[in-house]
Amino acid sequence: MALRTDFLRGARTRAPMPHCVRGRGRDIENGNMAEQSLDQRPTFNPVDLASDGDRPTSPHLQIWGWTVSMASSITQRATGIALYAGSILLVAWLAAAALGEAAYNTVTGLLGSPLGMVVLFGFTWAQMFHMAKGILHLVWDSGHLIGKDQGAQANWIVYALSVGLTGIIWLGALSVKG
Amino acid sequence: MASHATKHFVMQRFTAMIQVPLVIWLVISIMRHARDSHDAFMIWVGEPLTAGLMILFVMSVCYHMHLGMGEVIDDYIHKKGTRSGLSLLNKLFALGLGVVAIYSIIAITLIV
Repeated sequence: MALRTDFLRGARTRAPMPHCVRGRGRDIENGNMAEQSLDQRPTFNPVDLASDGDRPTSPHLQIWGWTVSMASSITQRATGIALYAGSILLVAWLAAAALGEAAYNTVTGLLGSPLGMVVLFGFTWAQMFHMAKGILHLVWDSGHLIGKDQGAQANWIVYALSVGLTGIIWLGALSVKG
Repeated sequence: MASHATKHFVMQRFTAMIQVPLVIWLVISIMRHARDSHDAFMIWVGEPLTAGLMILFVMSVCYHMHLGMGEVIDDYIHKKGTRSGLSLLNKLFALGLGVVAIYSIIAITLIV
């Protein structure tokens, strides 16, 4: 979704002002601020901070203290990206089966190797987290749990649920006789 | 739908809602079939219910992941040319993955 920035772009056609205008302090002391022309007022234009002047930038992560809501939001995006890549694994399993027994044995052998299991474990957690947080988003869309504290608690539950479900799934999967 | 943004919002939620029960079904199924021989796996995927739910899941996931990655690209890629190039690759990847998956599922049902 593109933000409307064209109204900000108008500020640019005026004089490109630095944040501190010479004489500003004196003008404030003298109570002359109102007499300054519009062109001399310091302007803050977020568009100027964007890499190509096309879009405004977000506040930088480094200057914000971590909160669970923020961590959870970032984790949701990160797990989404991981699942995007991980989807190849599921498709590889299906495609290998369709290709024949040799291909199927190669792919299941790779997925069943120690490294493959570590990847699948991570994949499971990413999937569980993304699903749990996705459900929370659906709950939020319905107008529930949107208070600051409730939201934070719900995010803690999402983290706990994702870890718990991953544990249950792997205990279950490893106890299945193969 | 009223606008592109509304369609994006509704489809992201719609696919998410479809996927919740499907993920639960798929995870339980994978736990049961992770150590299947080729024959057993083919028989399982070849069942009409399995094949049908898998095709539904693949279609929903490919649409959902293309929406999500599209958002990431729009947020972080500021250069216009790169942005539209990556958006195109994103759509091609989701589409290609869906084609391979659905083709494989149909092939399995025909082989079994």
